[in-house]
Amino acid sequence: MSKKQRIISVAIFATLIILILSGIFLIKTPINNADEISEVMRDAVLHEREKISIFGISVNPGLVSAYTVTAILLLLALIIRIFAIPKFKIIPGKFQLLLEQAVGTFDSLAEEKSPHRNKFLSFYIFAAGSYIFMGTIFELFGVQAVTERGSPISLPAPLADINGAIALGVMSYGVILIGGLVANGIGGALKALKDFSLPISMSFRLFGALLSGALVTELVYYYYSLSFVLPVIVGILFTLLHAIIQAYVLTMLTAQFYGESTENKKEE
Amino acid sequence: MKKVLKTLFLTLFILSVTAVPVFAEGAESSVVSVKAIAAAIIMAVAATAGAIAMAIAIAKAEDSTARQPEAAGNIRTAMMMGLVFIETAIIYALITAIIIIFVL
Repeated sequence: MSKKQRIISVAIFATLIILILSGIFLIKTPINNADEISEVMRDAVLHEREKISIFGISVNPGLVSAYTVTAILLLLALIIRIFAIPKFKIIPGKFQLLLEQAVGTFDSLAEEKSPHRNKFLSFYIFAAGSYIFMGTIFELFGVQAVTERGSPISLPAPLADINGAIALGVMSYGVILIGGLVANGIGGALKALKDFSLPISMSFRLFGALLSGALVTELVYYYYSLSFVLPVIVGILFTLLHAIIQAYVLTMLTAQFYGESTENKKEE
Repeated sequence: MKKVLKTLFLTLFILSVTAVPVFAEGAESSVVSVKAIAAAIIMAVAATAGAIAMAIAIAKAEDSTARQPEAAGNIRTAMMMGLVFIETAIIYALITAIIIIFVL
């Protein structure tokens, strides 16, 4: 790019920014907002007003996004199984490498943390990890749905709803408990029961992390004047980073405690 | 350490004194401001304590990695576990603050 072109593009960019900024400060109130920001944020926590009706039952928006994410994941798995896996070669291509890396990460995590029994654990943490990752990334696409009041709402992350987070946390605890029961009998289950605060800590950490991200993004997207460069940073910080960190943390905790409850004492 | 505690208590005292005029304004607004102060104090204390705890953990882990580079993997895993539990405690505080603001 020559110097002249650069100057022209910078000038166009600056003019656009000035135009947009002047528009924001001239039009004080955003046009399309019928709700106060405090009401919007309150509803993101409590889900009292915005309900979506599926099959005649009014549900939280989080449930709709949970179903959507599950459907996307199942469809993706089916497509990969039918079209991609029969074409696997000895010398892998790009997509095969990506898949092998994803599966191998969780497999080696399960093997490292739980050396005695890890067949089911590796399946479970792969599923849970990809669900958390996809569910958090899903928020970034901003899929719209129509609420019962007739207003559009962008679907939140399924785990930003406390019910989804508690379900995932309790399910992970159930996996640990049943693993201990199968491997070591009552003693293994008792060992897992000792950490009775684990489901609370796992589910609330998911809920807190995702909800705080959702609230911050809500705040940033609400005001026009905040919605220029900031969403890029906030989106990366609170969505992509949380997706990776939460997926890693939940799978690591599950694998760690599963390994503790299933370890074989008799061999030592 | 004593100095830090003194500063903390002084800050809390000043906060509570300056909050008094707010109480006089009326029932509704005073409730809101008390909630805001409570949530702010919760988050401030939890985040400070968590940051200090995390800093200590990370510093110790770095120390031990420098001392024994061959054990870096194990040290990192243990440090991550510890950080996760510290973060959980902070997130409990965050949830308490959210509940105070939106539910109470």
